[in-house]
Amino acid sequence: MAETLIHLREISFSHPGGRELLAQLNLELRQGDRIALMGANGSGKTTLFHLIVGLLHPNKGEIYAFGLPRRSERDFFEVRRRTGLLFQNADDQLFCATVAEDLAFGPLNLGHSRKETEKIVRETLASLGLLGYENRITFRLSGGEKRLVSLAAVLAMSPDVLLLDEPTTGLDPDYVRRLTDILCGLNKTLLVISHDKEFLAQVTTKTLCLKDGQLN
Amino acid sequence: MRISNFSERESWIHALDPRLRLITAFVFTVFLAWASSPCILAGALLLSLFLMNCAKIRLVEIAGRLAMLNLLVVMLLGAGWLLSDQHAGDIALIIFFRANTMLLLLTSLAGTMDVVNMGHALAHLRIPSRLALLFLFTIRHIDLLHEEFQRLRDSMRIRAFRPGVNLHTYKSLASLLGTLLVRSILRAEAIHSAMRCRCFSGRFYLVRHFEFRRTDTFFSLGMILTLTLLFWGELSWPKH
Repeated sequence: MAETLIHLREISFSHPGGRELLAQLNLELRQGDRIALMGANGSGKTTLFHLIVGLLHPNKGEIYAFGLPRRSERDFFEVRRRTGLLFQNADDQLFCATVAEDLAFGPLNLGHSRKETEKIVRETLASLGLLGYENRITFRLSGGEKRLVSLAAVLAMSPDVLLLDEPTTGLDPDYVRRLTDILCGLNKTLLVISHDKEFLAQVTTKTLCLKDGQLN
Repeated sequence: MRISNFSERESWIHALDPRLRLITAFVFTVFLAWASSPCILAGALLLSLFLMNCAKIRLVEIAGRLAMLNLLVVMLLGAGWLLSDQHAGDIALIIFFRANTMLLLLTSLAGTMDVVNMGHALAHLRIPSRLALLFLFTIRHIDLLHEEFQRLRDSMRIRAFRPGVNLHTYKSLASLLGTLLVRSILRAEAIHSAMRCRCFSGRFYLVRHFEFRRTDTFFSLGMILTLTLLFWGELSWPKH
C-alpha cells in the first residue's frame, strides 16, 4: 500500500467568531492519489488547504504530514517545502517583478545556489512551455499566463504534493487544455478544488465532497 | 512598474550600470549643494543638459516640472525685492542653477532606470536589505492599490455615481476609502501567506546582477575628470 503523505485526524475549525466550518474531519492522502475536492461555496475547501500547509491552525485535531505530527510554524516549514499550494487568485501568488525572479524565490529560500536556481527556473519554464517568459513583468501577464506562471513557481520547488485551489477558474478552453495536459503529465500527488467536472474527470481519479464540515 | 516615463528608451545612458548612475547622481548632488559660484554652477547645468540630451529626453517633456520649480525661484526673487534685500538676486540665481541642475541630473541618471532596477542597485550598494525590500514592496503595492482604486471607482461610475457637494458623495467616498484600506490589508496578508508557502523566512535573495562594462569605465573617468575640473574651478574662483 502506498505511503500516507498527509493525514488529518478529527480536525475541527471555525474562524474567530464564525460558525464551525470543519467538524471532526478526516482526510488521508496517499502517495500517487489524485483526489478532487468538491463542495458548495463557503463550505471550507480553501480553509482545508490552508490548514494543511499551516497558514491556519485547527481548533481541535491532529495534522500528520510526511510521517510526523505538525503543530508549530517550524514544523510546517518542511510541509510547505514538500507541498505546493496554488492560490485561487494568481495575483496573490506572484509578487516579484519578473517571471524569473518569482520562480527563483522558492528555490533560493530552500538554499539552492544561484546557478542551480537558474537551471531550475529554466527547466521549469521549459516543462510548462513558457520559455521566453523569463523577463516578462508578472503583473502585465494575461490571466491564463499568470495562472501558468504561478503553477511554475510552485513546481520550481519540486513538491511531492500539489494542492490546487480552483485552477481553471477564469481560464479560456485553450488554457484549460494546456493546464490539463500539464497536470496529467505530472507524477505527483494531487488534491484539486474545482467546480469543473470535465476537468476533474481528466485530472483526478477519485472525488471527495465537503459538506457540513465532513468529507465523504 | 514605472515611476518615470523615461525608463523604456534606448541610449548609452540607459545602458549604464544602475549602481554607477546612482553613485554619480549622489556625488554630483553633494557637489551642487556645496558649490556656490554661479559660473561653476552654470557649467554643471550645461553638463546636466548634455546628459539629458544623451538620455534622449527632450526639454519639452519635463517643461512642466521645470516650470513648477522655477515658479518657486521667481517667488523667492519677488520676496527679496519686497524686502529690498541686495543679495536676493544673487541667491535666487544660485538657487535657480542648483535646483535646475539637480532636477535635470536626477531625471537623466535616476529617472532613466525602472524601479526594480533601482531597488536592486540600492541593495547591491549595501543599503540595508530591509530598506531595499521595503522600497520594492512599496512600489509594487502602490501599483496594486491604484488598480484596486480604479476598479472600485469604475464600479461606482457604472452605477451612475457623480460626485457633488452633498452627504451622499462624502459617504460614498468614505466607503471607497474604507474598502480600499481593508482590501489592501487582506491582499498584503494573502501575499504574505503565499510567501510563507514558498518557505520565505525573512531573507530576500537578489537575482539581478549588474556588470561593469567598458562604457561604464569611460563614463566614470569622464565624470571624475569633469567633477575635478568643477571642484578646482569652485575652489579657485574669487569670493567676495
